[in-house]
Amino acid sequence: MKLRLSQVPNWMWLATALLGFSLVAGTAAYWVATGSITGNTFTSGTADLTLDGQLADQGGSWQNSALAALDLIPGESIAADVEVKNVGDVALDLSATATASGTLATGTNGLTFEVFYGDTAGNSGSAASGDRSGNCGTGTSMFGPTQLSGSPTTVIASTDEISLATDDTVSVCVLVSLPINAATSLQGTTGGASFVFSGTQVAP
Amino acid sequence: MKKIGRGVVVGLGSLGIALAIAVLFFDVKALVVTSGSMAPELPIGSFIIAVPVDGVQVGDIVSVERGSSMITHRVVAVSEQGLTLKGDANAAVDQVLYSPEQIYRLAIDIPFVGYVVSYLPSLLLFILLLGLGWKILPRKEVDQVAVVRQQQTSSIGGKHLLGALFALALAFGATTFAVNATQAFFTDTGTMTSGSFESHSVLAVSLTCTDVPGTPEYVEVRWDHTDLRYEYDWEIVRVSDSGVEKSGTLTPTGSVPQEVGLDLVGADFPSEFTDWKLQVTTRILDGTWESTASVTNLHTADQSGQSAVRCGFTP
Repeated sequence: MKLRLSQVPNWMWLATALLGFSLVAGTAAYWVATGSITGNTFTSGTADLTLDGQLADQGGSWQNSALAALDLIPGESIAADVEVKNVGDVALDLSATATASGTLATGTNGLTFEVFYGDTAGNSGSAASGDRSGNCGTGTSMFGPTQLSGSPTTVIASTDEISLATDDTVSVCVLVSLPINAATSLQGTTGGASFVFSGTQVAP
Repeated sequence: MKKIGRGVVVGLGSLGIALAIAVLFFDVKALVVTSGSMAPELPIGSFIIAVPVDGVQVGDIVSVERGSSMITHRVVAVSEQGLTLKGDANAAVDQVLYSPEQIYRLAIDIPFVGYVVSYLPSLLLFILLLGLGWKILPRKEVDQVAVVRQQQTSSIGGKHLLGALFALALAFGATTFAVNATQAFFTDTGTMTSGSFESHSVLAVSLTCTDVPGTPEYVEVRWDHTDLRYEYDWEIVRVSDSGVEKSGTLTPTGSVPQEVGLDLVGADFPSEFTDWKLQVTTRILDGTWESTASVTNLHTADQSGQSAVRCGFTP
């Protein structure tokens, strides 16, 4: 017996539809759990981070003059803040990588970096007396203290779940220390680091 | 015309079923692009189908899981650590590396169809209610209508229309529940560079040696103490064998600059008359960083049975 498509009765279409429903309904929960689509999930807009009010629009580089120190001796440390603000119109997850440069940062027992968020920097002491000491208050440590390399190292991971709603600001504090056991060959050398902060749109 | 319409809806129904089967049993991803960082290649509202692959190349557009969401971005680098992705409209690459496992490569993309697909649930409900309403019409009237229609048409009738509606519903249902959203995430980056960090360089001192007349004669060795962070290690070294006869540390107190130094008398040396060197090394207080040694020459000599110390080697 040959069944032509045009002869398929309504009840069979209905049964097939129900079967199809049953079939996909089993996965519907999965899709719902993973964010199934609705009519209003389309997102247009821009992601835009600023660092201390600098770098509006996409990309860019800015030097944090507070994150610097001359005439360092082993045991000293310096802390500096950066205010990271979401000035775009989508919520962002914050992440960051850091890369060291210069002998003082990459040499044996060179500069170490620690990254905190949630509090601001404090500094005491003086270069003349060789007792400079930085701190990041009660901020939450996200990374370090660790020496960085010449390749990017994640200092704030997206899994750290630092989210910035539109117009939100978070204070990130960087503590830079010259270890007490810094190699004597590091005398008279220079170094530094660059931090790439990324805001990635939060899943709708 | 009705045949064409029925063919379309049956075709859509079949596509819906095929899509559902592909998604459910062959791990195919049917996705709707919900944000714009892959524009213009994949504008918002694109409907895409991505298939699982074992390997990808730079330039491929892939869909990967990110937490509870899917991301569709372009591969810009492949390494042992994972895949680096980037949205075409983003200035920077994604800050996370993605595992090369469970990668889906873009196979089909249809601009803007995703908008339609995203609204299918409500359409589906509407059509199902419509079909249900049709079915619950009074039986007699339906039969009469059916009889009249059957008289007017040979093969296209109400039941076919109803079947077509259900086919359409099936297409909507299968497609709607099989399609998920994918984001082409927006990102922005800002680079903060530090200022310069520069370390101190410990300075060697410049020694001056002065003979002090008397019985016995002795010497004053002096230098300028210019840095509060310094202290000084000194050694008296016999020239003949480099043996260290005596050593110590001078830790100045008070302000800087100030002149500091040592007065060396015969008692500081063994009872032998020979040449010596005084070596002074500047060192960071309680630290290990130090300068090269500064040296001044000395000698001891007999002075009426006593040991005299004088600057310079034995004449």
